[in-house]
Amino acid sequence: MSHTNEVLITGVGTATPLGSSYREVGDNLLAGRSGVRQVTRFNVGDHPSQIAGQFDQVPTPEGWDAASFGKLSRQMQLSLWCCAEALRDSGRWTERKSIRLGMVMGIGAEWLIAWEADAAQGGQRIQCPSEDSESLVQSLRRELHMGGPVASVSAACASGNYALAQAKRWLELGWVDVCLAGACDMAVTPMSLAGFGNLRALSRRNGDPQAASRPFDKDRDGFVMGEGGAVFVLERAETARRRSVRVYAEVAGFGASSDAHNMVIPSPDPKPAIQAMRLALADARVVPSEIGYINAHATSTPVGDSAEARVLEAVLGDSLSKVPVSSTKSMTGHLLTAAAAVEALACLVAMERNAVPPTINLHNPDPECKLCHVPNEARPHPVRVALSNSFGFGGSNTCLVLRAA
Amino acid sequence: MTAHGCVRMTGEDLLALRPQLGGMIGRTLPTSLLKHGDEQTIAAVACIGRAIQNSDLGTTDFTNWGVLAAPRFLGRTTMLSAVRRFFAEGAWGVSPHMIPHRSLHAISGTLSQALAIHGPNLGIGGGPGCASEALLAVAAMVGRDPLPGVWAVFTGWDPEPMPGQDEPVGARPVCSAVALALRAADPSWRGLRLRVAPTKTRTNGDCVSVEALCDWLESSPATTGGWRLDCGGAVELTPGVASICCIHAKRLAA
Repeated sequence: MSHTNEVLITGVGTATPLGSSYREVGDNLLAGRSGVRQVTRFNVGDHPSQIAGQFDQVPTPEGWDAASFGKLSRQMQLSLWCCAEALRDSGRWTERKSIRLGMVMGIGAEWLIAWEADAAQGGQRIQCPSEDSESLVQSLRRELHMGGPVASVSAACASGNYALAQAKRWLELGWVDVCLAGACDMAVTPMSLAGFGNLRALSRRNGDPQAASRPFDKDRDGFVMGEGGAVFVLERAETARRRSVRVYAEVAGFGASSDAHNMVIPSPDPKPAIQAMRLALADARVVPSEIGYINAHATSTPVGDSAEARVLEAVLGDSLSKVPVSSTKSMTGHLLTAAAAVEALACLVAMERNAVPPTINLHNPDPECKLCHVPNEARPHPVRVALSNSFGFGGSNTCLVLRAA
Repeated sequence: MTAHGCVRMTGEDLLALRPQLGGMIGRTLPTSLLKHGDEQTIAAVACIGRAIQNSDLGTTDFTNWGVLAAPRFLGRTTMLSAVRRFFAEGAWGVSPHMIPHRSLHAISGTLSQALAIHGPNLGIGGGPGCASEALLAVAAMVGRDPLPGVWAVFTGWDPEPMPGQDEPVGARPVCSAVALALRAADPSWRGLRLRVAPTKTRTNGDCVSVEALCDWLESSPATTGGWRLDCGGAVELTPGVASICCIHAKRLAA
């Protein structure tokens, strides 16, 4: 098999409610631990939903002064941590200035979050456009001394999959030697928790936070917000193999479509989402029987989970009863713009350890979601090919295929 | 580039345009679709309408197309009001429409519904440099099977409107929007061409922006337009062979 067009993942940086390293997040995913808890960073007294997947502090990357790092916005801290860790993990840190290093980052509400944070501290930045002279990706490019192109992309909760697909394409086109790709989102803010809450999208199981995110369970009542991110180093197979570095997986395929139905509600017609999955499988030259694991989008909303189950039924056909499906949002919460990136990481964990992370809180499977569930405990299972579905507001449907390399 | 459309409008113009948008793109739009849409979203639909009207795309089925939208600081004025209301009223004062209609994906998602596009829809950039980011993204997408074409839409205010503040003299806020209908390069194509070259070194000239694209497209020039990409590289717009011949012929006649 020719490796000419293969694009491989050679580095991972992450921070999520389940930890701030690939190993730690992987351990916690397979142990079925929940990172959801009561929100304490701000007053949630009048919020309909008062829980979220959170972590307290972004670690300071090696080489940064802790005090200066602490003054950066939380979104910048998270992104910088993930990028720096991914580069170190891939062995590209010291040479990052001499290669054409690009970046595609999923970021959905950068300015809304920045303006809200500033206003909460009594600032007037929202009324001073001249203060918004540099975007997050531009700041990251400057801080990391990168020489290649950068872009932020957003398809809401599907952003991370688009970022990986764009980065892969940039490598194929020869625009970059190495590309950072992923998504970071620090969206657990007073206004966004209120906005999603008022949209009636969030779980109100405030008294039992760790049981609130329960995808595919009959008793689910909405999703639980989460924060965090994951960034990957992507490079062509020929350069990765020449360096003899650790390879996590091949970015084997991607498919995308739009519902063209509603900005918030998934389409009752499963065809567009089916199309996204089939495009991804065709792009990766994979048939359903080869799939070892599917990380479902399944957010724990009554409508969304059953809609995705219908999509999986159509795409998997005879393999439906054999392909393990789980939703790691049951443990992390829904990381919104960053969800797809962190779920790609969950797929890497499944491939590396030949074990499928569970859907926790799945005690009473919804009869409308007849899938090969992995309820509450990880399941040992060989995984050579993993799929990650991510759907988003605006009607976006995406599917990413990762293959053991 | 098989079609392009530009609009430059004030807030009052955009308000007046809302009920006419369905007609501009030749479709019946659900009333709920644009009810909560931002002014930049209205401008985005309008410039696509212009592009369709100025071309032979009126009967085109966009089902399998993709759409990218690169707004600049989408939702600043709405967010200003929302922050004030949140501080005054608490959590219940936050509109549930804020996130779906003011996040980076909001315009592309709306356009996919307005044009019944079932291909990918994606928001790009969102801040300074968003035009460069969008051009990179669209150049990476165009020609990818199974996309027959991609709409790339750029929007932004200059200066940005600021409710409650005095308007600077001579600088009334204007929202510019550009829509480009793009297909993979075909050697026989004699119309406008867009070339994105992220590895090309270009040190002179301005960075590409929605205003720069609007200026160039509205002036119908006979020479190639070129700008820098924000993070290095270049973008060029080359006039169609037919239009250059036409202009040369006019000059000869004169």
